Amino acid sequence: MTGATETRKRTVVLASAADHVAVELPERLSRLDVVVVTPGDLSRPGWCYRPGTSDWAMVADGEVLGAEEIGAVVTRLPWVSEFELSQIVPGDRAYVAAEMRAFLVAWLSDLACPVANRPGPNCLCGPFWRHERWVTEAARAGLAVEPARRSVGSDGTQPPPLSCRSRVMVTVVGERCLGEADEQLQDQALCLARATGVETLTVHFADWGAGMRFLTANPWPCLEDDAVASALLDHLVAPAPARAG
Amino acid sequence: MVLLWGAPGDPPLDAVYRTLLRRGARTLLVDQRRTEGTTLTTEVGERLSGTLRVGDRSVELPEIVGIYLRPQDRSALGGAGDSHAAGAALDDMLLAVAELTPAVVLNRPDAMAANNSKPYQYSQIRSVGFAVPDTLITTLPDAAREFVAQHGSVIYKSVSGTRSIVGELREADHARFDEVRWCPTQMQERIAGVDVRVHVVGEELFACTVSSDAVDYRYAHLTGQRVDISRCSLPDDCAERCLALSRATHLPLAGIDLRRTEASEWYCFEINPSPGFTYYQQATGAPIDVAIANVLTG
Repeated sequence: MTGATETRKRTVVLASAADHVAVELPERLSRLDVVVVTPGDLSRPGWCYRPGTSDWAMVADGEVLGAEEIGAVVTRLPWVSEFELSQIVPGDRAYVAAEMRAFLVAWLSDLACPVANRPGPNCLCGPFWRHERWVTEAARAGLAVEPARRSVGSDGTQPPPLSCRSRVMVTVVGERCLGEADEQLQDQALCLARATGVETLTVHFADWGAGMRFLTANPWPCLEDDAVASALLDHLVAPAPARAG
Repeated sequence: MVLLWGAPGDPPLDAVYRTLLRRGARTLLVDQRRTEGTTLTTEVGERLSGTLRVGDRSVELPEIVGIYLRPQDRSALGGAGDSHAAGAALDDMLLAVAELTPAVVLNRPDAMAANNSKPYQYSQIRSVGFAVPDTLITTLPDAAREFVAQHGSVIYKSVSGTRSIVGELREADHARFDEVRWCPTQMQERIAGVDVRVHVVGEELFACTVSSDAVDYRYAHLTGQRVDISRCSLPDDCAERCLALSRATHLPLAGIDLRRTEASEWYCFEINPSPGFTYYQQATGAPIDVAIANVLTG
């Protein structure tokens, strides 16, 4: 028999049911008490949300959880796909998918606990930008970029793709950078993550012959990598202090 | 040069186009239905550059000072195969241009996306001081029942921008409470009062009252119910909030749906980022198209 113990808060991972990396996370990181929420959970009784209040309840893996039980949320789901809603009659799936996504955008944005990443209005994982927008944001943040070129028209000619000599990836988690890149590229990736206001960002650099330049970035947490997954979940539970600079 | 993009026959697009042509403004219309003969090349680094050609007219992207977007869902425009794919590719590139150009854009796609989640908009609306009706989104039938018991008169509406028609929850609907378990369902306390539609165009405001027996006057024609629209003025504090909401949401063109209660409280239901303003302009004579043209031409 034990005395009164503090309830450990749970970390919610929002993901597709087909996202095996996310679905297996509770087992891989059992020390962190992870629970996975999939679109199917949104067709179960128990969700209650009053916008603008901290009064909400959610359903994860069939279990109803209150706000006080959740410590952090990780989003791996950019949107809700109608193809994941087999419990809904076919004629209503697209509508229900839009409703679920709209609900999640508002609920995730309103959460008081840490969320990686907070949704944008058109993506549940953070900013969902075209390649051109990422290049612009990177250039504004001071990174060297390879210009993005596109063409559409009657002749259908596209600019020829450039072949790069080498590529490297940096994953930013809070104030940490993970990956094999040198310190300068890590600083650049961190700079871009700060400028775009995300908790986690995967940044790709490539060398086309004039040194490493920004190639592209995306806000989905790279949970395949144990080091990234652990760093992200640890960061959400206990954020590290900001680095200078 | 001012760029217009959409499908001619769309009343707001046509109204702005006519106004710009009347005043002799250099204007280029990209017709979504006729994309053959239209080419666009872009290069994006620190700045956006490129060329848009429509038939025998072309413009360098940095020469564009204003863009008015009224793109229609391409799947509703017809066409198939290569022409559909080319049209979709052009749509995507024009959206990228609208995001990145330093020109005035009514409105930028990123800012417009907030309209796809009504409750997401509520926090923006509250931040400028408007009241929002008490709202519940739930999959729990008992919570829905309690909400109705608490408020008595309740409406339901989509959480997203899809099938966004407001309905009143009636006694006969109570038998359907168990269906909310399938999808988060939004209910709101019903606010009694007078509907006021406000169009914000830059720093200009055009307000009108809307009287109708319908719960959602936008669809009154479906049930043969009347709609009366009259131009009105706003109290200064309400006008300030409308302008603040337009700025906070980065929507220099907006249609704001308000309701004024008997106690003179102002509730805001939503902010429309691509308003069909001609419906209100025809009824009130308010020169909204002129104001839009003014903003586009600087």
